[in-house]
Amino acid sequence: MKHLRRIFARFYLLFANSKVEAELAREIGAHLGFLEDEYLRLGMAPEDARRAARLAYGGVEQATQLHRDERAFQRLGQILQDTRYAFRQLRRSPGFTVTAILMLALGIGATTAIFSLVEGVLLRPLPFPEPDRLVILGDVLEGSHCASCAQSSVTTPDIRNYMRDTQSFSHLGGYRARLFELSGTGDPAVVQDAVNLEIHLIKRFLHVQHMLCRYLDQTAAVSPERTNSADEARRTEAGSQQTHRMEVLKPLAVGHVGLPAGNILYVLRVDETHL
Amino acid sequence: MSNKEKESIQLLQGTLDLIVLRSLATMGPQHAYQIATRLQQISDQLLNLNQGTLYPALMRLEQYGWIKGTWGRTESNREAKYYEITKAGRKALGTETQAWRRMSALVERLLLKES
Repeated sequence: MKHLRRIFARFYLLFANSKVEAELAREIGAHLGFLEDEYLRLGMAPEDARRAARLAYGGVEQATQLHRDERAFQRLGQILQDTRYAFRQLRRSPGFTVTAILMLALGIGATTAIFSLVEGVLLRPLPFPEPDRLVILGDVLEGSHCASCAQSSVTTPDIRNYMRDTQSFSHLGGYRARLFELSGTGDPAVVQDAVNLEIHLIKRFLHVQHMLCRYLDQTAAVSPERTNSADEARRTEAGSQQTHRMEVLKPLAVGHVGLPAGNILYVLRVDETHL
Repeated sequence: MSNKEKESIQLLQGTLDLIVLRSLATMGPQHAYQIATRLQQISDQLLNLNQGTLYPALMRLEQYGWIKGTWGRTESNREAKYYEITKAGRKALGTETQAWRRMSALVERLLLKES
């Protein structure tokens, strides 16, 4: 309790400094007066008595400083003083202030931007197990002159060939991004960001979980149940009255004719972001 | 330098508060000069009381709420700040005295045992 009281007092006195200082000077003056009276009574001349009193009291300035240290948080007081001084200086030269603030803003902004980039590209791992073993395979077309052709993607027959003829990878698969039309018993809907993906790649190697429906085998036939599931996916989208960004996976039919239309799909993610 | 000055004692940290409280409890309201003079007299000049430490001690006690200072006039018509012990101060004096007695008795006992 007593310490709490004192802490408050020491904070308060930081702001009532001049008042306390005056009071202390008055008190020390009184003290010197008593000493002087004492020496006068001993028969000293007034001038000598005054000097003797000061000598007997000791260093007034030191005593005052001790008092200051004891009565308030002096460090804090000094920091406050320095801050006030800094603000005064800044207000006096607005040009310098603006420059300094802009430099700081620029510095912080640039650092944040670069770090975000480094974090996203280098530090944050891909959301798959063993992301360091994940590669994208592409063809290099020699003799081609367009910028994007230098590293172009492969064709579906190529995927089949690579899967059959290479041993350097534990698994290979193809994917292709495109729009889908989702249709069932109700109105058809457009699904954006649909990805055709070879099924084993998703299931065994990327360990991706789907939100709705289930994985279909590449050879799976259409069944009423699955059609319902597809409808459900669309209903989920329509029911919330929001435009969703959906990521949908459909098995890529490598070496097959492909799945019958109207039969899908693995809804991987439904974002709440508006398109 | 006289013998007495050579033997003068510096107070232990924190004991000045207790002594000042005791003095105020016994003598009633006093100003700083009176306290200083009285402490010197009672200690038979052995106590080397630095004025620089007395005022901070008084202010500390005031911040604890153990004493209260009010300005007044002396018989010789000088102004002075009179310090008076408060109710909380009397209570604190009791507990602090107890604590000091236990402490000094302990040190004394340890010194006897070791000699």
